[in-house]
Amino acid sequence: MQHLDEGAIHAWLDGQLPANKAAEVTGHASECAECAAMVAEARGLVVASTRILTALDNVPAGVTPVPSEGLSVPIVQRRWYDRTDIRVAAALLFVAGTSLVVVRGGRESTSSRAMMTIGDKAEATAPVALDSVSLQSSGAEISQLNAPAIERRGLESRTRANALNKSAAASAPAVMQAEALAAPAVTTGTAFAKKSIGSVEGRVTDQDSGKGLHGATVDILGTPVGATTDTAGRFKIENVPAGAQRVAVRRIGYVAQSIPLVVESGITATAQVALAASPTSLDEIVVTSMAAKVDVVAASLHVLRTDNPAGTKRTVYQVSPGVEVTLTESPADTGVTRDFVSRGMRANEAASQRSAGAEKEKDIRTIPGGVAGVAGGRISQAVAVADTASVPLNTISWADHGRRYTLSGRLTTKDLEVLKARLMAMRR
Amino acid sequence: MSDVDRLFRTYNTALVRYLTRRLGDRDWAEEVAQETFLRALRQESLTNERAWLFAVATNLVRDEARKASRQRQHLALLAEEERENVVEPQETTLERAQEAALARKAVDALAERDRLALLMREEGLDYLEIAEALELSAGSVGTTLSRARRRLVESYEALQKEREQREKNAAS
Repeated sequence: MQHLDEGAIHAWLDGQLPANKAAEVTGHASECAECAAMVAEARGLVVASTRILTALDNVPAGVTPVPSEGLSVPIVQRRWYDRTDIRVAAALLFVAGTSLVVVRGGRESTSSRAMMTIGDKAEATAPVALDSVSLQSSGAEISQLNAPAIERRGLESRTRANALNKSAAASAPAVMQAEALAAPAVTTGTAFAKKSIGSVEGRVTDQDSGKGLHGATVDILGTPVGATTDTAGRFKIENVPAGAQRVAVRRIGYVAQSIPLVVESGITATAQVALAASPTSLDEIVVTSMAAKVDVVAASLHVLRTDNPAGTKRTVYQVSPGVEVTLTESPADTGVTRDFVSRGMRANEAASQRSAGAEKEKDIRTIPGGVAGVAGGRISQAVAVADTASVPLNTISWADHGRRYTLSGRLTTKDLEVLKARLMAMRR
Repeated sequence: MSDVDRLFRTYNTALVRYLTRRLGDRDWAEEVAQETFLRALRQESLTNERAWLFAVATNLVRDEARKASRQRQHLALLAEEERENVVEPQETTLERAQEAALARKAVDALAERDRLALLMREEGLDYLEIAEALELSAGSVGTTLSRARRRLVESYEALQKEREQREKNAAS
């Protein structure tokens, strides 16, 4: 079996693979050290992203959101030629110019044909302008001049679609319909914008062996586009803004690299990147805790909510007002998982040993937000909460009767251990 | 219990949480969720109700966002006034607020499709439901989610380092 790709690993962890495929993945992950490391890393990412998103729930009502990239509509800046009087004057000038060309056309058929060629090109690039503004039937300059207007019309079209949607007291299909109605106008309206987009493809290899590296993250810096390499180390990124860009390539166990690249519109640029293996080293890990003072022995535990993210069962308990702990339960499914858990449980010990001058272990990093995380390369090592004092979260993990448990909260690990005993007793 | 009651009781919590994470405003999230359920009421039948509800809520957010773009300046002024009057509850500590702000920035840095897929998955939608709601192929959901999770964590991590650096600089 080929190496696992990241998408399949996440689908497996999410419990979304069919049984036969899941069995294949389980088997491969237990035999292949490289994929086992990726599985461990992916598991850390699942837990970490869940915790980061949980932080979004601390939102007071009545706050106007900051416009986000995906949410906001691009604001078409009003330019000097957007003024109605200037546009009317331009239109009149154009009519006069066109009339002159037509009059001369009888006498100068050659020049007329040349103008028609230009007009045809304009028609090919901006069909919406031709449909809605008959005056723009020829003349490349005029069509380009009106490009912002075309974009605006696209937005207006979408607004009309929304109005239609509202007035019809629309149901969901109506929403879809409104989107569909708007889509062609928007697509055509941004035809000019699309001209400045290219793509990047290439291969990421191991500098020593020359073999393709799968699972490497390739990003175009400063843009939201990127890709992950396939099993042969190949990648392709579409919709890259034209111009000078930097391609950043990262993979666990290798030194990250970024290279400059010029992307031309409508053209696929090629990038070959050879990554050097990283001499693994351990950053200092600081275990801190700013726990609330709570009598965890006497506190009554209330279930605030339960849900099932990423194929796990998650229960949030209130220990005392303002103090919550989260218990995550998942099947201890593979040898990889057990390995991960047991290492995770030893993480605090490892940290203290290191602080006592013990030999450095390899390639450990913390996952933000006080989450049990992983590090990678070829090593799966977890760290139970080592974060700054500003995020006083602690996490403990353990396995019991074939299940894996993680308990986290703003309490000392000692208090968490007490709660662990109480919770496990309640479950029995 | 009527069918819309059942829908509401079954999905309201998850839908409001999804929208709150998406919008950053619980009041707004609840309004959009209510509108979504009202639209569900007008449907004769729903084949995949959870995917339908999340898809409609997502589309409503987009519509709202378009309206908001016209009113943004006005709202920004109002929000400024409002912030002066808001009294934070005691349990909203500085650390939590900082954590939430970093999380918000990290989530906003994701591409729209990645963000929506991740938020839907966190509310328990399976891959088929996410694919239906976002008009993706089911096979690409795993890749979308893996990319979204990695970028979210990396982005959060980078922001956290930036903040720590700023704090160090301020202290020195």
